[in-house]
Amino acid sequence: MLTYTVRRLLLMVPTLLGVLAVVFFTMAMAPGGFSGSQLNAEGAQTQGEEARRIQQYFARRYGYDQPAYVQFGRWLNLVSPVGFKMASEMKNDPARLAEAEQGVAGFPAAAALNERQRRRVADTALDAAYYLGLPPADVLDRLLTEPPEAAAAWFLEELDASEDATWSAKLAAWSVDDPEAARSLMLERVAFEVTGRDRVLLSRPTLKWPSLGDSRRGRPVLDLIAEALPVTLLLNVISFPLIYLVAVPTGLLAASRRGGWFDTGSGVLFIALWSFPVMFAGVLLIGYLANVQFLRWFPTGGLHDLRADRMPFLPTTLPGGTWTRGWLLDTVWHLVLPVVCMMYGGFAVLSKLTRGSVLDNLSQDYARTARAKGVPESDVLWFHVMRNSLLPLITVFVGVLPAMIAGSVIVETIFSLPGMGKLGVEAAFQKDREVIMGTTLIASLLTLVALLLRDLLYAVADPRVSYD
Amino acid sequence: MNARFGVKDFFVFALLLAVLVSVWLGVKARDRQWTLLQSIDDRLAENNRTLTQLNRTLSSGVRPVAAATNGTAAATASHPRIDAAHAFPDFAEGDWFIDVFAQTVGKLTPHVSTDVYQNVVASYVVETLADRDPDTLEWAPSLAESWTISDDGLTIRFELNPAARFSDGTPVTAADVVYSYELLMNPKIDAPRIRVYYSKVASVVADGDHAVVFTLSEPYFLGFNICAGLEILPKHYYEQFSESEFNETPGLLMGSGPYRLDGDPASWTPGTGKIELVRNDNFWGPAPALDRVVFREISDGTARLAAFRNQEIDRFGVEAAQYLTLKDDEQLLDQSNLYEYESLTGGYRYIGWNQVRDGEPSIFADVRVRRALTMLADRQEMAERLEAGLATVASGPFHPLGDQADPSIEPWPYDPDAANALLKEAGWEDRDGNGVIEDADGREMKFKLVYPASSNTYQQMVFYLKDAYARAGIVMDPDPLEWTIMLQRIDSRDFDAITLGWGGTIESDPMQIFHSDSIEGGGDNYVSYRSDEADRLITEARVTVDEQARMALWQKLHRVLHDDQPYTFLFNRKAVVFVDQRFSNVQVTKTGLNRAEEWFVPGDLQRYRD
Repeated sequence: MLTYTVRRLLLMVPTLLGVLAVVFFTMAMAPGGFSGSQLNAEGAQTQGEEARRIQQYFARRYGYDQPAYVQFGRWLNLVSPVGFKMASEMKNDPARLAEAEQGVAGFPAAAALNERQRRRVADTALDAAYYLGLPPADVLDRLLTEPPEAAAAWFLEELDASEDATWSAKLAAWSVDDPEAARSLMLERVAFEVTGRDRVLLSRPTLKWPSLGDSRRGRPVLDLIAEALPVTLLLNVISFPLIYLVAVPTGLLAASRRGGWFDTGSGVLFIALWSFPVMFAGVLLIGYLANVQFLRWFPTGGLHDLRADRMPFLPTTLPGGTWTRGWLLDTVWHLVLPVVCMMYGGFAVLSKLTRGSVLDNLSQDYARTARAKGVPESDVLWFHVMRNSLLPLITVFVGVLPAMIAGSVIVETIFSLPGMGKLGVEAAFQKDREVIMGTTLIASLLTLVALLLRDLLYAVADPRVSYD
Repeated sequence: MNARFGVKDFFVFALLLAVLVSVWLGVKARDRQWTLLQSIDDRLAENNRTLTQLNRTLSSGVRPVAAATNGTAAATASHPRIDAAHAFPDFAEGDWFIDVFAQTVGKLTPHVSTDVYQNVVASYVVETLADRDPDTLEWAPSLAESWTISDDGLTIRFELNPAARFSDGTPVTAADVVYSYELLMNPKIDAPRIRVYYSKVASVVADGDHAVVFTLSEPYFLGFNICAGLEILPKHYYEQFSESEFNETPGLLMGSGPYRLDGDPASWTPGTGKIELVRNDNFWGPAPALDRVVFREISDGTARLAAFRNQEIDRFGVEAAQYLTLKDDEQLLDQSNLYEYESLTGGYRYIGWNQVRDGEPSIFADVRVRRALTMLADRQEMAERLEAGLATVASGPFHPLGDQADPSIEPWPYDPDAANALLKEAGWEDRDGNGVIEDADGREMKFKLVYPASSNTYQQMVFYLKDAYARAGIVMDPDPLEWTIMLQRIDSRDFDAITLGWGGTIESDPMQIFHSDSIEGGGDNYVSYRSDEADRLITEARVTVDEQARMALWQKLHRVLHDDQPYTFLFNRKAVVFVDQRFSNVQVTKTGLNRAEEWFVPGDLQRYRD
């Protein structure tokens, strides 16, 4: 069993890499690549040169202009617990900044600078040092002893000569390769043009915290997931047990009355529900059950009432005689329609599965033996057969775990619930590379773990299965 | 089978689960109490601070009454539109306005947010130096009470209103203006979108506490626009955050506007489905009537309509497809008012005729062909049938409500006979009798029209045009493209004709779209329109600081573009909005509906209370 587990765990690494690579390169090879839909995300065409410069900024900032395999490599380096450090981590290191600031203070020219400017110079020097691969002291020396224009020109020359030969091409895109224009730029601006790209420091790989990176909207992907996950979990933690609670007994009863009206009726009903599109059901539920023109029993969307923050926790009658439903009931009330939408399609599979496996077991030898020795039919069903029939359901449940995390795109969108499904789909539309890859990583990792867990549980639950 | 899972075990498990759930709910309840306490605590601390300040002012011998009166007097001058609402006989303070967004707003922090709706929220909270009056489009004082522009237009000096206060009561000073600019230009701040607009500003210098001087590096007609439009942020508040904190904290929104974020901006988190603004009690102008402005996020269109019917939200924007059914909807009209308006910021739709294909002049290089193609399309009928009447035929790139447009220019009429005559004059006629017109070399007039594949309205329009052109013997093939592919084709100039829309601003800069310099190097003149006259007018107007002289030049440009028809200008579109009936003083201005800070709800109609 242990060998098997270890082998499976090791196999997960290439599988995971494969999944991530497929997702990444499909996105990268789509027309426009990752940066393509930047303008679209803004709602309309943006007028003017600005739009293009912004696009170029993002291309450089996130490296969309690099070959896809380089982008993939950088992303893997980001999420891997063992990898190379990035230039930005080094230059944002406060100790180094303080050191550089002290270095700045040592120059006579620095006397004229205020603290803020001094810090900016130190910052620029550190940036330059890391992007050019020069010792910070040299850069400082140049920046502070030479007039700004000469320093800027030198800076550009160094860039051209640096080991990264594509720099001049990138600078051309930003029209700062024209020396005349470049000289007129402030030193800070030049530094800004340069700081756009983070450099991988190719030294000995170190242990580091894995990171999912920043989304295009400028927030850490982990924060976005931390906000979306509780909503999705809440929906699923409520709806999955309810599905089991309805589907399993129905399946049992249907099996025990095989061919009867209950069997046929529940089968037809569940299959009909299963084939009814969720999108349509959601719209109908809102249109009829949350609409003042018909029945306004439920709210149209969201997780809480606008004034939920001011409500007491439990249903209470306030002094003055008005009744308020309270925060708890309000939340439950908001969850009814989405949970119904999540549930109704799930009955069919589970109840049919239960029914099938109960029927299987009812015709087994042990069930016949039990009947032969005079055990009543209901006892055969409830005490002998049921336990054995539920085995496959356990494994089905484990397989469902990844779906619980991934969330339902349609339900979350229709009912305006900011969960994982909505996060993933919005990211896909905006081609937000970091968010797509982050959610893919989590979902595929969970799927792989769940598959392993299922196989192990199978062995635990059924002694006939063995992996040794 | 000795460890049988029996009924007893089931109950034990159920009990355990129930205990766990109750514990969790208990923790949750505690947590809510704590949050509530925290916010009360914050509010108390704020009140204390105000009290201390007041005490100090009193003990230092300043006459606060006089100061306040002065302040109010100055403020009244600076927010006349809010003050005008106070003059209504049934004016009353109170009630909320609940607006709706179709998308989640992930970030409110100014400068670095990329969310489309962020500036809607920010416009209630942050103020700029000057604002355009939405009715007259003249610049009106905001944080600056006056300004002087040097004759060459390069130096602009703003005098700040000494009464101006941020929402924590701190005065707005020149240092805040300089700080706001420096923050924006700081390369560590993720604000490339806004930063590019300020590349023409050479320096921003404070002159004393209440004057700021902006210097531009070159004369630019939008120079004042850019300087006056800088969002002024409180230095003392934002300085406490490092650059990376500023970049990553989602809710750092604070300013001097009539509303402020409810609670501590630093602890605001997105994804709660709503954004709540409360009235800024320290506001230096006349107090707005509404207690709160709330933005809800409802992503689904059906749910949005249902929510509006249920009076859960107070504003509902109608799409052209819904318009015909909803405009007579009794239930909606009973509870709300319908506003149909044209707005300067609405933009226009067009068909662009690519004049150069593969380095050769295309069939559209002849101005007679372009004009004929314009006159073959019955744009009036298209506006009525395809856009439900919610569009007016455009004559050029400038919106007719603005001063850039020449009001004497009529759009080209629908006139197939004149169009056919023009085509014949240009050498296109049906020479072999197959129903398709050819030129002298026997080349048939045949082209593909690119349009965004995801859009139904574009598709209807394109098929309508296909019929119209077929009647004149022109073969047009629809070419629907996915957005990203379309952008690539635009970049490589690889299309015959394209139909799209441009967004609008109060005064737009045609340089990128119609100047011949923008043909190469990724500019937006992707139809390769080249006209010396247009180039001259654009170049001259862009450096003309005097507004009247400039408008005259723009109007001349309008005439040139009308004659040359580089685009077939299709429509300016109207917006349709339902607003709940209880709001008074809702007005249609040139830039859309007036802002909710000018609205009020008469006492007996008020629905929400704090």
